[in-house]
Amino acid sequence: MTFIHPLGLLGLIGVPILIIIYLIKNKYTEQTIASTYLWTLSEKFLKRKKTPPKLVGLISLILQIIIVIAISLTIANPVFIFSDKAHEYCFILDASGSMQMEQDGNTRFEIAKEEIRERIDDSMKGSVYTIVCVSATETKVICNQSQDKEEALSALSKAEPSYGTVSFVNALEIAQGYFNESKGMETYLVTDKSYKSHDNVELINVSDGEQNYAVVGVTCERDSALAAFKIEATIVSFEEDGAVDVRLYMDDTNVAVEVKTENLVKGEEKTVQFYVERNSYAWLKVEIPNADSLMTDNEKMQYNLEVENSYDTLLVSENPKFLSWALESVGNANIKTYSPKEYAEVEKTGAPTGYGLYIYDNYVPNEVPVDGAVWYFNLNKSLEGTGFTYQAETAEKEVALRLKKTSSSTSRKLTADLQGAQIYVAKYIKYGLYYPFTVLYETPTGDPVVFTGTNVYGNSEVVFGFSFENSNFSIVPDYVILMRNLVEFSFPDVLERAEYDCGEKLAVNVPPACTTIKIKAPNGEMTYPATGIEAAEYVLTIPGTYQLLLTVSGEERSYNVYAGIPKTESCVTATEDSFRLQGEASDERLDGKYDDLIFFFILLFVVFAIDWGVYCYDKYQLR
Amino acid sequence: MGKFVIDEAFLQQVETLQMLVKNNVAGMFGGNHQTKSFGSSCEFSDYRDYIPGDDITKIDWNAYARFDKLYLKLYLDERQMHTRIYIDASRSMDYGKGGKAEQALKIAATLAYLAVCEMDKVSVYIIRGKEVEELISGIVGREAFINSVHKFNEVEFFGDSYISEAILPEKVGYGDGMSIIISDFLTENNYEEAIDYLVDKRRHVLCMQILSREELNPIIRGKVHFFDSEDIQRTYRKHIDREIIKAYKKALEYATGRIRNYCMARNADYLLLSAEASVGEVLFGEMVDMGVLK
Repeated sequence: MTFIHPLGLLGLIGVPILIIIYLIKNKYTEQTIASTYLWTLSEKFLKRKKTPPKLVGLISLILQIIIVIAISLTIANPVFIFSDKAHEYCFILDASGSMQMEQDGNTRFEIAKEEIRERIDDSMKGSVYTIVCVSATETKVICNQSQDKEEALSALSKAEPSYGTVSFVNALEIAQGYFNESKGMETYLVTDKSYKSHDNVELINVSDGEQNYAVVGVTCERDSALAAFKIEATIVSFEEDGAVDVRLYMDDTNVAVEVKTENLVKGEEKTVQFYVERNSYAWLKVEIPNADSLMTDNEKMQYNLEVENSYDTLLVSENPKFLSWALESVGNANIKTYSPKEYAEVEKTGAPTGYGLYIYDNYVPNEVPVDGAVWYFNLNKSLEGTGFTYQAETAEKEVALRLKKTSSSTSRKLTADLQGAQIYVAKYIKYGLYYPFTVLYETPTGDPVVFTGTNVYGNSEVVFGFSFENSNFSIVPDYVILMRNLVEFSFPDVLERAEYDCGEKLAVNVPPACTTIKIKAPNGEMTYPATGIEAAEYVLTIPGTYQLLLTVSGEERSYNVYAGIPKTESCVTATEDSFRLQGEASDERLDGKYDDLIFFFILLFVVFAIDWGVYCYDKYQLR
Repeated sequence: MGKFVIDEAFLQQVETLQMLVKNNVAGMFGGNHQTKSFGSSCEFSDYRDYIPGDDITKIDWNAYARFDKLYLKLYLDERQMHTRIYIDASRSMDYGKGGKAEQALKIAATLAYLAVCEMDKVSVYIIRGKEVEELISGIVGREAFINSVHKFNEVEFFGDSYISEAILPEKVGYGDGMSIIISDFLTENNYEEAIDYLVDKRRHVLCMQILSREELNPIIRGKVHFFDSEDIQRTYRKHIDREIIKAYKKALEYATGRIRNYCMARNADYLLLSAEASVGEVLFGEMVDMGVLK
C-alpha cells in the first residue's frame, strides 16, 4: 500500500489532541448547590444502579480516535495494489458511414461506444486505455495510453461517426505499435464488418442485419433521338427482397416527376430508367422513401454540371456568325450579341457588366470590362489596362502565321491538340506588349498576332491581331480547337463534377480574379478555402448538398455539389479479409489499483460529526 | 439579601383579598373574621325563642307584634385572628441564583400586610437552627406594619434549619388563625411534627414550598461534583446523563409528594411555588385557586 498524499498522515496529530481534550473534559466539575438532598434522593430512583464500566465511558473517545485515524489515512489517499489484475486495452472504433445505421433507435456507432464504455467501466483501476477512432477523413488516437477512466470515457463520448469509407491500415499500424510494446495488450476492433480472421484482436461486431435500401448511383444523359433526358438510377436492397418506390424529382422537391415501384432481390443491384422530356434541368434527385436503418443513402442528388459551369457572353461584332458558332460548339455559352453601333449607344449609359466573357470584334470599348474575361479581335486602338499598345496596321500582304509552342503550362494548355494548320492573314495589327503574355501565333518577323494574358483587373485576356474577314483562320480545323482551348483558358470550369461520395475531396478550379471562396456544408457550417491557388480542395465529410460561393471580380457565382454515402458503406454486412496484429500475445498484466475512498471519507466525516453532535447534545443539552 | 419592592398599586390590589380560615375561629374580639358562633356583629344570622335573662334589646318587636311571641334576633360573631408566618432562613434558601429567599420574604411580607389589612394580628418568625427568632411580633394595623416592614430586609440566611425542633417549643396560639411555613423543605429533617403540632392547636396550616428553576428542572449535564451549601460534607459526584435526570425528576416528585400528601392528610394546605413566579401570580392565581384567599 502506498500513499498518494502522505502529508495527510499529519492528521494523526489529531489523536493526541483528542486524548488531551478528553482528559480535560473528563474532569468532574465542582459546584456548590443549595441542597444535594434531591440529587442524593435520586439515587433511590435510578434504574441503573451500577456505575457503567470504564470502557463504556471510553467508547466515544475510542470511536473518535478511530475516525480521526481513518480520516487521516483517507486524506493520505492510500492506494491498494492488486498484482496482475489490470490490463492494457486498445479499442479501435469504426466511425465509417455504415456505423450510422440504426437498430432499435440506436445507431451502430452508439452501440459500439456502449460496448467500449462497458469494458472500461468493468476494468480495474490501473488499466491503460487507448482508443483509436477511424473516420473517413482521419485515423485519430482520441485517448492515448491513459490510466484515467474518466478521461477515456470523456474522449469516447466526444467521438463522432463520419459518412465515408474508412481504412483500418493506419489504425492497424498504431495498434501494432502498442502491441509491440506490450504483448499482453487486449485489442478490440469495434466495427460492423465481419473479418475472416482477426488474430490477437477481439472483434466486436455491432451489426445486426438491419434492412437497408440504397440508391447507389445515378446517371443522366441527353437522348437526342427522344429529345429527352435519360436518367438511370441504380438501387439495391441489402438485407431482404421487397418492393420499393423510386421517385424522381427535377428542380422541384415537392412534386415527383415520376414514381416507379420496383421489386428488389436481396443484394442484387437494379437499374431503373426514367425519361424526362425537357430541355434543361438544374438538379435531379432519385429517392427511395421506404424507411430503413440508414435513410441517408436512400437518396442521391445530381446537379447539372453544364448549368453549374455556364456563363453569359457579350459579343460585339458586325458579323457574329463565326464566333457564336464556334462558342456554341465548345460550351454552354449564353451569348448576347450587339452590333458595334448598338453597343456604342449602350456604352453611353454605362458599359454592361455581369458577363463571364466579353468579346469585341473590330470594336474598341471605352474601357476594359472589370468582371470577366475579354477577347479582342482586330483592336485598332490602344486601350488602357489591357497590357499592350496599338502600334500600327501592317500593309496588305499575305502573311503566314507561325504557331508558337513553349514549355510553359499555359502555352501547353492553349496549344493542346492543335494540328499546326497553315494560317494566313492578309492584314494584321502590330502590338507592343508590356504585360507578360503568352504568344500563340506570330509572324515570321516575330510580331505577336494571337496572344493571351491577364488584364489590369486580373481577368483573362485573348487578343487576335487580325479580322476573320482577312484570314483563313475560321475555316481551318484548328479554329474550333483553339476556340475550345481559349474558352477553357478564359472561363475554366470551376467544378470538374458535381457528385461525390463522403470522404472525397471537392476540387475547385479557382478562376482568375477570384477574391473569396465560401463553402457552405449541409449542416450550415461555412468554410473559406484560400483563393491564391489554382485549385482549392475541401473534404466532404457529411452527406448532402454543399453550396460553393465564389466572388469573381465583385460578382458572386454559386455552384452546388452533392455528397452521398459511399456504396460500400451502405452494405449492412460488409466483410473484410483479416485484421491481424503480428506477434505472440502474452499473459502480461498490469498492477490493479484501488484508491476510491472518497465515499468512505464522507461516511467517516458524517459519523464523526454525528458523534460530536450527540456528545455536545448530551453535555450541553443543546436544543 | 437584596431589597424587594412592594409598591402602592400592588398593596391596593392585595387589600382586595381576604384570608379564609378553615377552622372555627376562636380569636380575640374585634376582628374581621366571622365565626360559626353568634356574636355582636351587624350581620343577621337567625331567630330563636326568647329565654328569660336574654338581652331584651335584641328582641324583635315586629315579630312579637305579628306572632304574639318573643323572638330574639341572632347576629354572627366576628373575631380577630393571629396570623403566624414562619420563614426558613437556612442557607439553602439563599444560595446561588435561585431567588428562593427573596421570594419567601416577598410572600411573607405580602401575607402579613394582607392580615393587618383585615385587622388581624401578625407575627413573623425566622427558623434558624433549632430555634425560632421573632422578626415581627403581634403587630396590628397598617401603620405598625409599615414601621416594621424594613425588618424583612435584615433577614440573613445561613446555617441549617430544623422546622419541627424549632416550632414545637413555641407558643402558637389555639384556633386563632393561620400558620404559614415558608421553606424549600429540601431536608431530611423532620417537619411533619411541626405540622401536626400546629394542626393540633386548631390552626389553619399552610405550607409553602419554594424551589428554584434549577431545582425544578435541572439543565446541568456531564461530570459534576456537587457540594451542599448547608453542609460541605454532603456531596454528590456523578456523571449526569439522561438516566440521572429521570431519577432526579422522580426524586423531586417524591419530595414534593411527601409534604403534599402529609398536608392533605391533616387538612392543611400545601402550595409549591417557583422562585421565579411573581408574587401577584402566587396571590391572585394559585392561592385564590386553592381557596386560601378570596
